[in-house]
Amino acid sequence: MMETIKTVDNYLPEDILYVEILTRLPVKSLLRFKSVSKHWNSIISSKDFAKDHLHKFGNSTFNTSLLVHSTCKETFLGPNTRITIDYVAKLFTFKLAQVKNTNINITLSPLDYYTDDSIRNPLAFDSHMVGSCNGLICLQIGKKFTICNPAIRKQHQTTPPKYNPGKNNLFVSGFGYDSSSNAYKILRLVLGKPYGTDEETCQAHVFSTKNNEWKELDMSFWLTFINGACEPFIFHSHVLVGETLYWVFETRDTSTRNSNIIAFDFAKETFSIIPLPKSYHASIRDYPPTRMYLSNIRQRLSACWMLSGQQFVIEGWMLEHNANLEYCWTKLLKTNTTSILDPSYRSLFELTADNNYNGKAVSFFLFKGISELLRVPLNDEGGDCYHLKPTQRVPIPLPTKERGSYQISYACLYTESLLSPF
Amino acid sequence: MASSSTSEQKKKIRLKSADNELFDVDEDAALQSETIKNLLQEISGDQIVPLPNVTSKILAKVIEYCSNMCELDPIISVNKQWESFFKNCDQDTLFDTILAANYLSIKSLLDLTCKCVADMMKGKTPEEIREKFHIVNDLTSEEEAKIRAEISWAFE
Repeated sequence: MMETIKTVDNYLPEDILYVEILTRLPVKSLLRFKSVSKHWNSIISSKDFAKDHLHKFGNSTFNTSLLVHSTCKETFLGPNTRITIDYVAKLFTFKLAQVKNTNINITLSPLDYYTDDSIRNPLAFDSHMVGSCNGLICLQIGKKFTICNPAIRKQHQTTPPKYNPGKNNLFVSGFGYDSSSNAYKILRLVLGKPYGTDEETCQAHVFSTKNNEWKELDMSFWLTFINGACEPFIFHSHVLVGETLYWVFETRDTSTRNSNIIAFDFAKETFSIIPLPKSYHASIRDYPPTRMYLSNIRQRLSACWMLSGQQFVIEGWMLEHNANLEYCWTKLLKTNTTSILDPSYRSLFELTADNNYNGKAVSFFLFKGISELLRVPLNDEGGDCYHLKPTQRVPIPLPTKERGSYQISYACLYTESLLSPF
Repeated sequence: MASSSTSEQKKKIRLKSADNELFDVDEDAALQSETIKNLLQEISGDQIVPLPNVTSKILAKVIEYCSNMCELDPIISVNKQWESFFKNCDQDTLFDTILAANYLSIKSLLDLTCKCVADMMKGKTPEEIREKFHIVNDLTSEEEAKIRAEISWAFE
């Protein structure tokens, strides 16, 4: 074997070596291989390679992790016997591929990457997760937003423009990618009545990594929408599908729960209302529904809710476009398994079929506030949609602290990338 | 999934390797190669398909792989067996198979073999990569130190 070894550079054509092989390597290996030679350094450092790597490495479900943002509230007696509350946030990831049919044992890897003391670690104190996309993570800490790529340990901080302060202001933020301008964008929306006025107003700004600037958006959509609402409302369950962000927007009074799905298109920078599945209106006539939760399943928006009557019924629907580009919903799953489902469930994650999973899809439910996943094997023999089989609890081993324990505040799918956050 | 035609009725394609060896291959196995599929459209009927870029040793492996993939039952364990074969074979066979899969345009085989090379490279140091692939380090010691300093944690 020794005498026949050939140089990779000379032997395998460049397009195979760089496009087919190096793009399958984890980020840490690639960073090390920058010091192989001048040529390898320039290839691995290039923006085109980062994109190729995102598509090849990031498209493999085997490399997909669940990213968990968890916070811990520590209460203790501080100096002068004053009660002090300390918030600590941590990011963890674990590979979904760890969750196999048997012997489920999750190992969490902390994303503690701030080794440079000159950068203030946004996770060392209260932080809030805005979103994640293409290996970039957006966090909000106080008034500032940070876009970071923990895999290459780079981050970029930005301060949004001031807003008119008011009582009960509602803040909504989101993070996504716009391919038309090849930029990552942060949306910040503030709704509420500024002090000294009695009128609902809204202010929305978008930050783009293209020009590093915040821009004010036209608010006519919101002015019409909130003036018609005349009730306090809440936003929750935001999810990014492609280049559009979706939220559930509902009235605060749960007895007359009135839900809407609002979409924000990162390319057009416009808001719109997505009509709900027809069966939602039909089903809530009989039982008051729990909150509606949104998920990204197979790159499509999916909405799930449970009906709290004599039994819990969960329905999941997928949003698609028909030939006339109108929205239509396709039924994704239905179950009336009462034993394990809990009304506090939050998000649905799917591990799509790949050759590690015998071609079968595996799904998870994530429970809110509880450090637990539910593994839900899907049974696709049921005809028009998936019927859930008995589920399996998968504990997520979040660390405990002396005076409190971590709770999950946000979770999304994450795949490491070489992309620069600026 | 599995085709209903009996093995006697299966159409055979005759392939010729670079070293002029002839192989009779089931049509559905041969058609996994986009290149062979295109060549068959250009040449008439029962002509031999010449593959001047692939040696008989490698072609035999590629045909075995394509035939296995046609059996499809169960594809996962077949894939695992091939993965373990490519992980344990010598580097020349692996690289020659990559070149053949690329030339013959058999995507699943190209994916599998490239993944094996990537897995083999993953945990290596830059020195091991240079040694393994006989790459000359043309970085000056200052340049190399600078690159390493920026990403020192990747060496932990």
